[in-house]
Amino acid sequence: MTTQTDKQEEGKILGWTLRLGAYGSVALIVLGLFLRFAHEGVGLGFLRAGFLLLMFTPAVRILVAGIVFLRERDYHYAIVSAVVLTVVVLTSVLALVGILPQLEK
Amino acid sequence: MNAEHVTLLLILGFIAGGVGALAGIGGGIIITPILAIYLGVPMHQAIGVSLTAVIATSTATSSVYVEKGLSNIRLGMTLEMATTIGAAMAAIIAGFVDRKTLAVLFSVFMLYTAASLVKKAWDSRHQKVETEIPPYKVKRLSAGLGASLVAGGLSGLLGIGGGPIKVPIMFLFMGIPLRVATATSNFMIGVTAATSAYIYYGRGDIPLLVAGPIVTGVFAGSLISARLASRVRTTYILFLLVFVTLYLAANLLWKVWGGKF
Repeated sequence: MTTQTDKQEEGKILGWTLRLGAYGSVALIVLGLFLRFAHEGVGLGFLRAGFLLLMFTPAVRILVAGIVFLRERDYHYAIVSAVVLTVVVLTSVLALVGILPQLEK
Repeated sequence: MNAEHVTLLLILGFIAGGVGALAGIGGGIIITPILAIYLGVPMHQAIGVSLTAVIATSTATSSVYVEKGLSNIRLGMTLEMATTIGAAMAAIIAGFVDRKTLAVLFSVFMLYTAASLVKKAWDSRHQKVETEIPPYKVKRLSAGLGASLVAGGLSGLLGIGGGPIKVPIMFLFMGIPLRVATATSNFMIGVTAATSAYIYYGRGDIPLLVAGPIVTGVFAGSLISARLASRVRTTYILFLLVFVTLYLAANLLWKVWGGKF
C-alpha cells in the first residue's frame, strides 16, 4: 500500500527529473542559438543536443517512475511504466534510426 | 535565417506561451497556424515545431504540479499507455497526409478549441477556485483509455497537447476533480508529444533553427505567466484567445480554399 509520504516522495523525485530536463535542454538550445549566430557554423551541435535532451526527458521520467514504483513494491504500476517505456523507446529507436521515415517513400 | 528571424520567432513563442499558460492551453494552437500562414513554414514542419514547444511547456509546468501532488501520477501513466500508442500511429499516418488536408483538420480542431474556450470563459465568470481537492475515485477507466487513444492520435497528427479532449473526459466521465484532471493531462502531454516528436524528427520535420527560438520563447512566456496566473482575471484573456483562434482558423481555411497553400 502506498502511503502519503511515498506519494510526496514520488512527486519530488519526478518533479526534479522534469525540471532538470526542461531547464537543461532550454539552456543548451539558447547556447546553441547564441553560438550559431556569434560564429557562423558552430552551435548546431548544442542545438541538436538540447532537442535530444528535451525529447528524451519524458522517457527518463517514465524510467524514474518505474524505479520508484519498484522500490515501493507497487508492481502493478511498475509494469504500467514498463509498457509505456517500451512504446516510447521502440518508437524513438525505429524513428531515429530511420526505419519509419523510409516507409514514406 | 538571420538574427531578425530569430527575434521574431522568440517573440511569437513568448506571446503564445504566455497567453496559452494563462488560458490553460498549450501554445500550439496559435504557433502552428502563424508559422504556416505567415512565415512560409510547411505544414508538417509547423506541426513538428509545435510538438517541441508542447514538450517544453508540459515538462516545465508539470514539474510544479507533480511536486504539489496535483497530478495523479498513477492514472496519468495508465492513460499514457493509450496516448503514446495513438501518438506514434498518428505521427506515422501524418507523413502520408497531404498538407492541405492537415491544414483543414487543424482548422476544425481550432474551431473545437475556440468553442471549449468560450465555455471555459463563461464558467470562469463566477467560479471559485477549488482550494482543496475533494476525495475522488477513478470511474470508467476504459472510457478514459479510449479517449486517451484519440487524444494521443490528435497530438501526433496535429502537434497539439490534446488537453481540450482529455480534461473534459476525466472531469465529466471519470469523476476526477477539474484541477487534478488539468494537472494529470499536463503530466501526460510531455510523453505523448515526445513519442510523435521522434517520428517528426526522424522524418526531418523539426527544423531546429525555427524550433529553437520558438521553444525558448514559449518556455520563458509560460514560466512568467504561470506566476501571474493567480493574479490575472482570465475571462478577458480567454475571450481574446477565442477571437485570435477563430481569426487564424478562418485565414488558414481561406488560404487552402484559394489554393495558395
